[in-house]
Amino acid sequence: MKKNSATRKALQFLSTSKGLALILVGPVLTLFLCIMFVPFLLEMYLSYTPWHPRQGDWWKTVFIGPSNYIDLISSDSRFLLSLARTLLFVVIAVGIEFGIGLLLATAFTRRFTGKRILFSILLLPMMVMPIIVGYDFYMIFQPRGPFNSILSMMVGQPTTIDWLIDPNLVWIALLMTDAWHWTPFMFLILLAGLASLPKNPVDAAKVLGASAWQIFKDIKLPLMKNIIVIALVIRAMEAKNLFDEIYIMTGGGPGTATETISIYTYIFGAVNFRVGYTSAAAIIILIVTVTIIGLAIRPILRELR
Amino acid sequence: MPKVVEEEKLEVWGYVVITVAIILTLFPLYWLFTTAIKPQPDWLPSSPVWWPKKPILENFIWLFVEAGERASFIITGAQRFEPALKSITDSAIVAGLGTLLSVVVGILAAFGISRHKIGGSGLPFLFLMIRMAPPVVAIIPLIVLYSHLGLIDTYLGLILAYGLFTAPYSIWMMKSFIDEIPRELEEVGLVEGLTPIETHFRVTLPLVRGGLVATALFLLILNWSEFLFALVLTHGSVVTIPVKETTYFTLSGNQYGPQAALGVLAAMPLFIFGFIIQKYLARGLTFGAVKR
Repeated sequence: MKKNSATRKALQFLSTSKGLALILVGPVLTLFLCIMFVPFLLEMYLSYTPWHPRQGDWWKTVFIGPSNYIDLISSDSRFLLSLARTLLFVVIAVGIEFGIGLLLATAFTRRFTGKRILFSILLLPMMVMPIIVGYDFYMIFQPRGPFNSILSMMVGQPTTIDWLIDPNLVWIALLMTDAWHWTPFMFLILLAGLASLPKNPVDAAKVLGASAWQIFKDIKLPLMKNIIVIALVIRAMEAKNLFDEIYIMTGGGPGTATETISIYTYIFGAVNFRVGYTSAAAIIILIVTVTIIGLAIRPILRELR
Repeated sequence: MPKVVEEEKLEVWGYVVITVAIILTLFPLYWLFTTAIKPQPDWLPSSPVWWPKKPILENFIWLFVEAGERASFIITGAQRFEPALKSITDSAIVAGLGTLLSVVVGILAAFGISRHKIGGSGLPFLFLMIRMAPPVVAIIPLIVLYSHLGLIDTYLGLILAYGLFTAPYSIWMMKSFIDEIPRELEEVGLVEGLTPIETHFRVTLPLVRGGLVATALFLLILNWSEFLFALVLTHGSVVTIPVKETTYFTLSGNQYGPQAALGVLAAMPLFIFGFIIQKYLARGLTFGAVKR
């Protein structure tokens, strides 16, 4: 009898709004627990062990305290450099994409023929899968490829630069690749932002005799602040994961010159199987990312609610 | 395309910017496409071949022909490779079912958040974190877990991973569509004797059908393109297109032609999907934060 009333209570709760909501978010939470949360706990545990699959079962491995973390932070310059490189890449790539995207979006607020079709064309790069983008630009940047060929026409003398072999120039190639792939994202979001601006302040400024540049700088940009932050944050979050293009174009090379955190973790964890050590690296990467996201994510959460 | 109210004429600088942008956008696509119809001598010649003297379709045909029957084709050195047909069906299975899983859990959660306001601010943050945490952080322990569960190199393993990692997009996109349907409609349903859950699925869901299709196509683009999980969690029984593409890089010479051909084939559906949902792209890419 008692059990029966408990069941009834449970059923009653589940038919309330809160209970129903729990049923609705249940599936995704279950998926999250199984595919992300439990693995994450495992990763936390492994990060305190020196585990490698050849040592047998992971639960029989020794516990070595935070020594993986200490090694990573104090003496693994390869890891630290990959972190710094990723950060620098994100800042520069997102900056370039934002600049070009804003310029293009501004042009698209004007009237001209063929706007619709040109808009569709400009969005095409986003639809190409990253692996194919990487492979396409791998061909384009070959020493005897089309990029050098066009470059020689422009400078008037033959150039055979090996873009993907030079540890510095390779970054130019990667930045151009990423800019080609994702400037359309900035263009699209910023155009949506420009299109949603209220008309009144702009009209008022015009009546007062403000120049187009003044209107853009002092009225439109401040009004778009939220959308700009959203575009920058989301693009930066995706840019930091950069893996596919580098995997194809350089494999992290020459040497370790293009090793980002994704490539580093992949090589140490999924190729060399230093699982314990790489788990610690992954936790550090997660802490760094979550800290940055925590600071930057507010405007997005505000829009979502 | 977002409609802009103010319509002044485009000045010279604008024409220059747009022309350059269009050329730069199209050239790599042009290069991919022409490589796909080039015979082997044109793949990496001493100076670039802008248009093949004799365009061929063998690169495409080759993708669907068994190894033993390839002797008559122009491409040499390709005999060792399996045809790519399996990678196309594998990609379709994994991306399709991964998307289905993501959309189903996404719709349910979106109703929970939109109509029942569950989770306060913690849940939205959690759902965004699933996407914003670096995937490399997730894959290392996932390899260990999957090998215990026998999920390595299976369709199910990839489908579960794809379902979860695109769920933030499906949740937020669907929520943004559901939010646009007035709650009053559901209240009418309640008065007429429907249960709350019935009002969600029989009143509101039919009204967001368009949004549902847009969400599904958007997720399909993401899942069809995914590489890292496929690379790490499969070893040959399941081969998606992105992984297949990497097998054309070999020591004995890269198979540029077939690789580009498969690239073109794989890009086509995404161009079409992207065009269909163009109106909703900004919304999808920003988790519903940008509504146009």
